[in-house]
Amino acid sequence: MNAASKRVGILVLAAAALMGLASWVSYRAVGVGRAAPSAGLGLLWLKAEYGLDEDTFRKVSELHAAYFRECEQRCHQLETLDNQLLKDAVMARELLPKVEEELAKEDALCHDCRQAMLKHLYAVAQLMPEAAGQRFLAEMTAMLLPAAVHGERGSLQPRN
Amino acid sequence: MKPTDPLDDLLSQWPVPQADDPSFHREVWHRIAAGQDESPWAERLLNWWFRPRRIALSAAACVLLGFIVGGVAGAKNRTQARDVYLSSINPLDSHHPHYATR
Repeated sequence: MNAASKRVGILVLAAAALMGLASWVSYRAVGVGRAAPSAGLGLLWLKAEYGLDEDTFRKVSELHAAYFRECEQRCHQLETLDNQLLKDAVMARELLPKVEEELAKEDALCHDCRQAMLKHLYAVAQLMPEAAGQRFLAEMTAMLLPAAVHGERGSLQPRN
Repeated sequence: MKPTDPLDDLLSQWPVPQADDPSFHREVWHRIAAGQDESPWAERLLNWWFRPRRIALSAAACVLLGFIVGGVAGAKNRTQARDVYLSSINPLDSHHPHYATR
């Protein structure tokens, strides 16, 4: 290896090191990092976005886990209802009272789901410092309530 | 007054022969230039590059590029994490963890 090649090698290494370092600093400042098995990526976002301290984060994580367990139960109920509804709706040639009743049950369950979600949002907001909690509620309701109605989510648009 | 150096007289009498070829100087410089052109391109590039100002500018460009790449990746990571959270609490979202079972 001649002197020129060595100098090129040193230059390339120095450039890569500089870029890598700058990239790492920038990524750490903007991103939320990688999720550990004990905490999901979503919860990491919550922690970073609303500046939660460790104690609040632990409480929010516990609340999230409890909400998820309840959510799972309702999802199973909904699954059972859906299966029955599909079966009956396919068999019927018109809108039978039975199918209508199952649709109403499903709507009621979806309503319960949304209600539980809202309750969860309020509970999480209460754990946060006041300003962060208010911002959390404003952003989450703007994002999630229309989503629950239309069944799809748009991009986050914080409203002032 | 400074005494006369005998060497001065001797030097003034010394004849300097002129080069036979009048283009001697030009050819010498031409050969030097040709010799320089034969150096590897990487070496020429490095010689051009290794100036404090150019090195500083290159370092600044590397840092800026690194910041941009890291920032874009960080923003993507943040957006992804936000979507994961929203999906996890919205039971009617199509990416909700239990949605697929329905």
